[in-house]
Amino acid sequence: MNITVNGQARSVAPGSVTADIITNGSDDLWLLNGFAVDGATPLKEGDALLRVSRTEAPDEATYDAVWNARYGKTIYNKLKSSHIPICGAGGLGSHIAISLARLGIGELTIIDKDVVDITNLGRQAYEMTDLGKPKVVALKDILHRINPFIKVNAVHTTINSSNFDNYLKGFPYIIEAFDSAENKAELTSYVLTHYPATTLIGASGVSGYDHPNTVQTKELFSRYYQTGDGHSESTLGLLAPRVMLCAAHEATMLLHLLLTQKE
Amino acid sequence: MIVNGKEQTLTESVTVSAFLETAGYNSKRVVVERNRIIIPQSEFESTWLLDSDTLEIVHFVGGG
Repeated sequence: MNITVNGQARSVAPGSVTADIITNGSDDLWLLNGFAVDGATPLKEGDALLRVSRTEAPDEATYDAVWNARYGKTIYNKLKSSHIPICGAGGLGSHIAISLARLGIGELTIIDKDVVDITNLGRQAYEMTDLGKPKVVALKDILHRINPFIKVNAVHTTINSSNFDNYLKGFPYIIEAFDSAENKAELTSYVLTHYPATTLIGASGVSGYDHPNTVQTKELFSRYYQTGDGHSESTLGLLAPRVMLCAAHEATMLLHLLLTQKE
Repeated sequence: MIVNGKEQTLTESVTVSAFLETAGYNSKRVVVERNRIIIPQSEFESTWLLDSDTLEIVHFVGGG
């Protein structure tokens, strides 16, 4: 029976259990196909056994091996090879970026003009120690603490129709995570009329404290998905749970499309 | 004309800008699709609507 141990092929006797391999008595964490195991789990053909430190950060190959084992190579390769632009790093964008970093998306380009202030901490991913930093810089640090191997292009600038092409041209998917209604409409119009091969995922109506099930994600136009309730304005108050719910909708919509759309 | 699924009569041809203003929309906060084709914001002033058109108007609100 053939298995792999930290990526190396190994032949083991039929009926072997994990304890036959895990014999060193170390404190390391052992993962069978990505999930922690104790010593007596039966092995089967093709199993991937991984030994990782419980305390030290892994190198990139080990990090990738964990997620390859959990998700399967096809899915993880798709995530790792994706480069996603996120327009806005506020309540939506910061939480979307964190979701995508945890998924193992290979590269993000995050574009935002703001610096972190106290009012942002009520719903955005930033911390008190980030006050005064450009959001994209603070966010890049947060993302690298979660996943040191994600490539993050932090772009601290204003984008609009005059320079969208500098940052957004040629991507299969773009995330709209702006705050202002005008910016949302301008980006959406531009992407749908200038980038015929791009799918845009955006949001409108992410405020307030209405019932959570009023948040939906709909394909409003061909190649345009919008999440939110469509009407709750920021004057209702932008509150962490609902903004994070909408961010999760956008990230989930992207994940769904990445893993189900034919190239 | 059909606007967001509802039928209405357009008595005379108007620009997209004029139509949006009359209908109470802020033209900088909408995306407009006419007969399944998105109209660029830059063409709202120069695009004339007909009673035979089908419009989908998505109106954005702030927050994010």
